Amino acid sequence: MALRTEELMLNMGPQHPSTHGVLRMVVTLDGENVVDVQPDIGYLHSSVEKMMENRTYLQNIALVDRGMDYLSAMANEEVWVLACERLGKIEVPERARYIRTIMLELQRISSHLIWLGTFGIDLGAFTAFLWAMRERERIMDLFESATGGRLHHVYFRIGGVFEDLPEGWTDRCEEFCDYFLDRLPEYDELLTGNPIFLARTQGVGVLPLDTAIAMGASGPVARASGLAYDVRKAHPYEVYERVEFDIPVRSEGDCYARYLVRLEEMRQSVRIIRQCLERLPAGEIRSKVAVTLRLPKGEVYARTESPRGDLGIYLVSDGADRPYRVKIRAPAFSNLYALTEMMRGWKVADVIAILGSIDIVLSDVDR
Amino acid sequence: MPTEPQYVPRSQVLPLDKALEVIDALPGGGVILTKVEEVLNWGRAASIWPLTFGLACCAIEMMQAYATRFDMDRMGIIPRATPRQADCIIVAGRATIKIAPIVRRLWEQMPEPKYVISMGSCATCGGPFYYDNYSILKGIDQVIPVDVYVPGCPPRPEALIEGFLKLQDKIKKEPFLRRRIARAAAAATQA
Amino acid sequence: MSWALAEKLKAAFPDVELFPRAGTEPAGTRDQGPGTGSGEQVTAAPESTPAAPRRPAHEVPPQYLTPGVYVPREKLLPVCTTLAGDPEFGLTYLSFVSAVDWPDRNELEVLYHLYSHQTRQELALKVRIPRDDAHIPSVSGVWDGANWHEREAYDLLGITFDGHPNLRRIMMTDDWVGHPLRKDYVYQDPPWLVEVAKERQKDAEGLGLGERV
Ligand code: SF4
Repeated sequence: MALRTEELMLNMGPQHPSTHGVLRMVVTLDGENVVDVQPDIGYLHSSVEKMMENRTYLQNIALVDRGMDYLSAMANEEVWVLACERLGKIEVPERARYIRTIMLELQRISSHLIWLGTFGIDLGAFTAFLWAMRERERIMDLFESATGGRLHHVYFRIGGVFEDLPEGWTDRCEEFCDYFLDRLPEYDELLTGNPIFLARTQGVGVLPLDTAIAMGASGPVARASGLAYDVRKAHPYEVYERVEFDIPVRSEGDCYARYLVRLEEMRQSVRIIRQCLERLPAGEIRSKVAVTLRLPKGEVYARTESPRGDLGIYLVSDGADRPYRVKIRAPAFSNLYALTEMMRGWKVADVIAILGSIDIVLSDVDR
Repeated sequence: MPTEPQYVPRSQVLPLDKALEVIDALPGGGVILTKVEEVLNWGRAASIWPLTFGLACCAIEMMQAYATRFDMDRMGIIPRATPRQADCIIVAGRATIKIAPIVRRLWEQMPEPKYVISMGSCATCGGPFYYDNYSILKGIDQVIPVDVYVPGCPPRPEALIEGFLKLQDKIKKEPFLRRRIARAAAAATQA
Repeated sequence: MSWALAEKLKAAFPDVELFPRAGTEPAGTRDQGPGTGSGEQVTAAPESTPAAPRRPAHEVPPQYLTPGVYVPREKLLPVCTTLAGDPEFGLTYLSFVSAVDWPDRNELEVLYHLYSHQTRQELALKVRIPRDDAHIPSVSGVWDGANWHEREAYDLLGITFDGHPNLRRIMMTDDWVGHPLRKDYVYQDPPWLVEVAKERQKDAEGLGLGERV
């Protein structure tokens, strides 16, 4: 007689130390094996799209910081001002474009550092968290001295940036680049070659390339599956076409590949920052744009590469001083959808590792 | 029919409330009680264990406060992953209407005495998400009582630490043994 | 961004209609606005043609900087299957599904944004449906990723996607009333929240920190 087995429903979250916020997952288990995972989202739905319809174009900069992906506030500002500038045909001075690029890349590093730290915690390496936060504090200092904010900067403006860099900032930024490149090998020692880390990530949670595309995955998740696509290269904005950098792509599609891709991205970010600092031109930082800006009637889709992937905004303007409709295309939303596919067939302990590896931010998923 | 074993509440096995009442009534007992209270409060204030529960952006600053530079461990603040072991909940970030019942339930699951820190303008009053909004709770104090409000968007880690110091002050002044006596007396008169 | 894909689609499906472009406007309105000079293949790049005196905002024709087409509702599925399956288009990546609400026209514009990783072309699709009969075939069979996006559009804008495998609310709670992103939505506190808040109010007023004895 065959042993009768039952499937078990396991509810993870919304309060769970490793769901990275308020995600709830309903995991169906057969013994130790994951049969199905249904993420339940919406616990942080902040109605940003509705609020943006009621705020002027300038006020919205402060809103996208908070309402969208809060780990990369600069990237949100960037996509918003980019959409407005495209629709309004507003020029951005050269210096501002360089400053923006530097800030975006710093933000990418800081966002990846948070990911690295929390991923480390998920896998039991608390040291990684402490180290990553130590590095991140340095970036926070840089941000704070330039923009006044640690997490939410409200620094970009339509047609430029708010203020010029303070004195000595570029030197400090240069210093940080050196410091950071010094530290990166430490992470290699701590995690990359660590047998426990390898056992828990290598070959785990594989996402095949065609599934990744069909599900709309983007960013490091898709690049780890072999999709050589980065908005910075495909549709360059700011000064990305003028700097040299590589797009790390791996074909394995497992957690380890996603880890390696992000680690390499941080190196490339430092490379971009250094080139920008070298060429940073003098001059204006903001073109004249009215506070009560009215964009012409029309529609535009702007996209950028946020630390999580292909971040886009579809902006519909009806000629008033506030947008008629804004649709935010959130990368983490689609990446999270691909989670079910990644988890099927793995053990329950791998659920945490896989979830950690796709780097979701719930406020990006829910908006 | 076999009789079921009688469940005896612990407070009847060890009538602590009664003992406290007796001590309080003794000449000089009040002083002892106050001293004991002080010692206990000192211990409680120096080991606040908050629940790891992040909601939104403020949670990132909370993480920073636990981490390297600010290191809240040195004040005995150690995050716990389950509400059963925690005695403080930091509501870090905006709470949606969808999550509000869950916050409430987490708070109910914590053992007494328990404290709530509302971190950030969102948790305090809705903050930047007050107007034109259909999904955010306008202040977590609509659902659970709050002890310390930490303003800011986001509050810096230093501000959160200040909030904890305020909470420590509050705990140190709390006459919680006397409250126990009063509660027991009230229950006795009601019975 | 080029409109080549949109024109190709127009050739294959004569029912679809291109977004109005600055170059192809009726003669009366083309005296001004960026991109009028080139006639065809208008790009998003700003042009330095000396602008005619500015007209009031409501008269300026809208500019669509993202190439796209209007698709009739019945034709959506065949069009999408072609776009995704035909290597000539190769639009295998669906960025998002959403909608724009136009109450004065009593119309919802369901919006799809497609992208091809090979040719790096993008295309927006719009389907106009009446507000009170918001039905549209689901494209989750064509692009798997549409699943959640359609659930979101159903939740926030009240569009029913026929043939969707699991059309439930995704952002709001299951018992939520109304579809918040519609322009005429009015927010109301859910009844349980009103009750709890009232209780808390009483505690706070009457007993100081009421629950803490
Ligand atoms: S107070 Fe500010 S930082 Fe905190 S959750 Fe609200 S928006 Fe985010």
